[in-house]
This record gives sequence, structure tokens and C-alpha cells, in this order.
Amino acid sequence: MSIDHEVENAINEIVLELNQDKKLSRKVLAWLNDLSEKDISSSDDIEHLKGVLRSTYTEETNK
Amino acid sequence: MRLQILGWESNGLRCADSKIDLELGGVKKLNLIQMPNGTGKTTTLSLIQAAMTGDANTWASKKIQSYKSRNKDNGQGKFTLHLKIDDNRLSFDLIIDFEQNEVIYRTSSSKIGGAVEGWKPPSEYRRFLVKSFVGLFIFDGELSKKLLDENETQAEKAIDALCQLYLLDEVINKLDAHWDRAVDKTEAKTTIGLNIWQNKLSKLKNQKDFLNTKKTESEESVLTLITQIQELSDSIDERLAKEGGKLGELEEAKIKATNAENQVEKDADSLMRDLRQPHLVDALFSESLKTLKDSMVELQIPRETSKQFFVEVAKSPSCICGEPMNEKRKALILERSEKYLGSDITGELNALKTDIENHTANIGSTKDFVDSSASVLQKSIDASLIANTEIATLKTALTAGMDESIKKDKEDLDQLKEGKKDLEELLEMLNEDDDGIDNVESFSIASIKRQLKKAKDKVSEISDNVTLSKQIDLVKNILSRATVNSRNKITTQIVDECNGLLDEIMKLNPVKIRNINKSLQLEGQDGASTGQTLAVGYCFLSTLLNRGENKFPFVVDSPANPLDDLVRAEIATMIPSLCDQMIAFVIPPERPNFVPPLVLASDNDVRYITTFRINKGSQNLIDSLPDDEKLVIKTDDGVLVYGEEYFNHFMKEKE
Repeated sequence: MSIDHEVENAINEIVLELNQDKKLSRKVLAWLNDLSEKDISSSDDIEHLKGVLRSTYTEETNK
Repeated sequence: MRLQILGWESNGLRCADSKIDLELGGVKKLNLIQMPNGTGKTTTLSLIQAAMTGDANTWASKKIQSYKSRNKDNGQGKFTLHLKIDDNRLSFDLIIDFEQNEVIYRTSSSKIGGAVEGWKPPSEYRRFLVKSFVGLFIFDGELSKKLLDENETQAEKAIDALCQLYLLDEVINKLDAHWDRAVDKTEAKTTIGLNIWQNKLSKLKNQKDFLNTKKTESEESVLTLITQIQELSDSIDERLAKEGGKLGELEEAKIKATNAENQVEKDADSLMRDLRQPHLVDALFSESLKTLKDSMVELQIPRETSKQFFVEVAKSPSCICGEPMNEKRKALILERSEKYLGSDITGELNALKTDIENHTANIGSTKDFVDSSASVLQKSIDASLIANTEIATLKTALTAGMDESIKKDKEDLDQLKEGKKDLEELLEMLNEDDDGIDNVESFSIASIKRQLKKAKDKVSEISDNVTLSKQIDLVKNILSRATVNSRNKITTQIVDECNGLLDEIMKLNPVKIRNINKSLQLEGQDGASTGQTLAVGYCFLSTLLNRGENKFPFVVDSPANPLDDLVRAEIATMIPSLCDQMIAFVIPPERPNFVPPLVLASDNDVRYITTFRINKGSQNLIDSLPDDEKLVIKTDDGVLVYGEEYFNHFMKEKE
């Protein structure tokens, strides 16, 4: 069962509002959908987490 | 995902031994299981739930013993549940050992390679096989009441469970854990300083978790205590009044006291409204306000100090200091004018002058005005005190000759009240504002949150993890806001969908949901009739359960029992459209006006099962069993009969 479409919409909207790349919402949603559909391992979790953090834009990451 | 219940078997337990096959001749939309009262409906329902959720692993010995058969002295009992999730079969055995006071599970599924010890469903199904989730479709009439009870949070919890909003919290926790690991690995430039702050951070996190747990527990306990206090108090009052024959008098006194308390609240609000208008409180305020206004007029405020003043000066041939106006000076005046009052503040000051003029013009003796409101409030307070004293006097008079059980209950009641008071004091401490003082043992959640942020910033600064900290904060912010926003949208959609359904099915007994704020709130009414409560509960749950292409069965205990005939037909017509497999445990008196419309609404896709316990009184039921042996299954202590005819004639003479 994938994550509720309203959760998906809310994440997309907030990511856009915070001037973040669309890639960030895709990565967050991929993580949530994996959590929703399967029992993921801790290494999968770390992969998702790193992917999400790499997709963020902060002043520090772009110095 | 589609979950179906294919059947269950019960042996050596409190309910009669039986094997219910819901797959025979294909899975049916409607499965009617008729059982007389006292034959184990509730036991069967809780065993289905326990098998599905693995929850029996936590049962205490008292609960385990409650499942022991009353008629047999067996050391073990067994319950097996057969499910189908999408195209996969899954079975749970629940073996209850009454001698060792333990429950052993066994799970079978091709997806896990056959049968294994323990409650081990395939990992992808585990999320749906938890109590909070299963409790929504293994439907207990109490759930409907809880959904509408403003002291409960069942409705919001159901939305969070079904729409998986808890996953966003899970990701937040994983991000926090990652940050902790990152800081632990850091080789800090100033190890000592980092250790100090890390220790502080760890203490603060523990304190935050401790306080949050305390808060949740205390809030839940207070709600439980409110109900317990109310029930016990009502029971004591009723017994006292019956003993003294003064039930009516006590009820009347209570109504009087409630009305008096409401009046106090109303008058206090009225006085507060007056007190918020300073000119009504005392002539000194009124006079001072008038002086303020007069001074503003005299000084031509705001005009003289407004931006407009500087614009006019700049246009003049000479400045107010007497020097001739040149371009440089003009530009300087206009630039600096920005610093002074703009048109928005000018408007506010003019409005202030008008308000003072209007509000103070017709005030005579202002003190009288407030005094009169205060005196009205004092009278209401006196009336409320008298009404409560009347109740106390009545109770004391009744208590004088009361029996021991009432005395004991009164002591219990006092203890419950004391417990509630303690918890409320604790909650007050937990909800206190941040006092700005750093104390890791503070009981104010707000203070701990502030200190936590400070410590986290410090640790990230010392450990060079500033970037990671900001990235994590950003993602956490997105997830937290998404939780709130999506819950609001989902709530609105569910309310609309439910109201659409309710419009269709409750034409004779209309009811509408206004909002979902923790619980379901109805439009224009505080309470609801039993029929309305059930209808709202069914509609809400079915809307939720069917959201996002998921199909869950609906298992209901005595669905029509609390309903009058008219509402029975309405509800019966409605339920089949809300799910694709319904299993209804019914008692014989529920058949009239409920089963026929239910069957009709299910397009006759129905399985009829009747089951009863063999005992002294069941001989006539056994005598009338159908001749077709394939329809009858007998066990040591029970009989199970498939078929419509036996179902419809079962215990008919008793109705």
C-alpha cells in the first residue's frame, strides 16, 4: 500500500515552498513508500537517508 | 491490498468447539453467524483479533485463564485463524496453555516457507496486523461511541493509522538517530567541551521522552478517571437516593447546581468583557483617556508629526528653520521623513482619537457599570454555592444510614478524585511556559525543548556538524508540516464523503459530521441517538478503510441489537455497500427488520451459519436440525449448522 496521496501532495507543496529541488520530495516519498510497502533493512534506511540529505539545499551545502 | 477472513477453528476454549468455514462455495459478501447470547461471541471476536495481531503474547495470567472452557478441565486450548491477503494465504495458530499461563503462536504461509513457531506474518503485512488497525474493522459497538466522544482521540488515531501518517514520525526518528550517530563519531577539536554538551543533550532527550510519555499517560489516565469518577459517583448517588427514597430530589438539586454553575460562567464572561474596557472600570481611566485625546488634538497629532508634514515642508520656499529650501535640503527632508509616522500609523492614531471620543462621551458613573456586573456575578456565585450545599446536605442525610458497600465506594471515589487531582497538577507542570532557566530536570516540556535546541546547536557547532544539523532540521520541518497539512486535507475529504453517505442512508434520521478534531463532531447537536452513533461510526470507518484501494473485512458483533426497527432497516441497507466482506455475529432477536434488508442489500451473496452450545436446554434445537448431514457439524460441546432455513427458524418460538 503506497503512502496516501494527500501526504504526497503536502510534501511536494512544502518542498516547493521552501525553494528546495523536486528531487528532495521524490527521495522523501520513495523512503516513505518503501517503509509503507515492505520491511526495509537498516542499510536500506541509511541509503534512503543519505539520498534525502544529498538532495537538500542549505546555505552550507552550497558554499 | 485486500484482506479476507477465510474462517477459524476453536478447540478447548471458553467458546464452544467449532470450525467456521467462510470459503465453502466461495467467499461471500455477507456472512451471518447466529449465536444465542452467552455462547461466546465476544470470546470469538477477541480471539480473532488476538490471532491477527499477535497481541496475546502480552496477556496476563488472569486474562489467559478467562479463555478456559467452563465445561472441560483441559490444560490447553487452540484457536486457528485463516486469512487471505491479496492472493496469499496466511494462518495463525494460537495455543493457550492454561497450566503454564502462556500463549504460543504458530504462523503458516507459503510466503514464509511453510509453518514457523511464533507470530511471524510476512513483513509486508505486519503494518496492517497491529491492534490499532485491526481494532477498526473488527468492530465493537463501543468504538462508535468512542469515535463521537469528545474526551477520546479514536477518530484522529484511526486516520493516522489508516493513512499511515505515523510513517512521517518514523522518518523523523530515524533522522534524529542518524544525527546522534554522526555526532558520536566526531573527533572533536575540544573533546571535553563536546562531551559535556553531548551528555547534556542526552539527558535532555531522555527528559523530553520521559515528560512526553508522562504527559500522554497522564492525559489518558485523567480521561479514564473522569469516566470512572462519573460512573462511580452516579452509582453511589443512585443507591443513596434509592435507600432514602430521594432520587428525584437529588436529581433536581443536581440540575439546579449545573444551571447555577453555567450562570456563574456566563456572568464571569460578561464581567471580563467589561473589565477589558478600561474606561468602564474606573473614572480615572476614562479621564486619562480624555486627557490623552485632548493633548493629541492640541498638539495636532498625528498630522504635525506625520510624513505628510515633511512633504509639505519640502514644498515650501523656505525650511522651518528659516533657511531657503534648496534641492539638497529638499531631498534630505523627504528621505528622513520616511523615518517618521507613515499613513498607516496616522490612520491608527486618528482612529484612537475617534474611539476615545465615542467611548468616553456618554459614560456617567463608570464604577457603577462594573459594580453592577460584579454584583450580578456575586449573586450567581452565591446561588451556585447554595445549590451545591443543598446537594451535599442531601448526600450527608442519605449517607447517615448507608450500607458498607456504599461507604467503600465512597472511599474509592475519594481516592479516584485525589488521583485525578494529582495528575492534573502534574499536567499543569508539564504544560508550563518556558521560564528561560537552564535546568535539565525541569518538568516544563517547553523549557526542555528550548534547552534541547540550544544543546543541539552547541554540539553541532563544536563537532563541525552544522551542515548535517541544518539538513536534518530542514527535512524534519518538511515532514512535520506535511503531517499537519495532509491530516487536515484528509479529514476534510473524509467528512465530505461521510456526509454524502449519511445523506443517502439517514433520510429519516438525518445526521451530519461537522468536523473531526480528535473525535467526530456532529453538526448542530452535542449527542446522538444509538442509530445515529452507529451509522456515523460505520460510515466513518468504511470511508477510511476503503481509502486508497484497500479492502478490509468488516466484523461486527450484534450490529442491530441496540437499534429500533426503523433504524435497523436503514443501517442494514447501508452496511453491505461499505465493505466487500462482512461478518456479522447476530443473536436471534436481531433477525426481524435487520436480516432481510441486509441480505437484499448484499445481492443475496450470503452465507448463513447458526451455532449453539450443547447443554440441557438445547435438546429442542438438536431435534430440529436439518436432515442433510453435510449441513451439520457436531463437536463435543457445540453444533454448527450451515443454511438459510435453519438460520431463519432458529429459536423462533422464543422471540
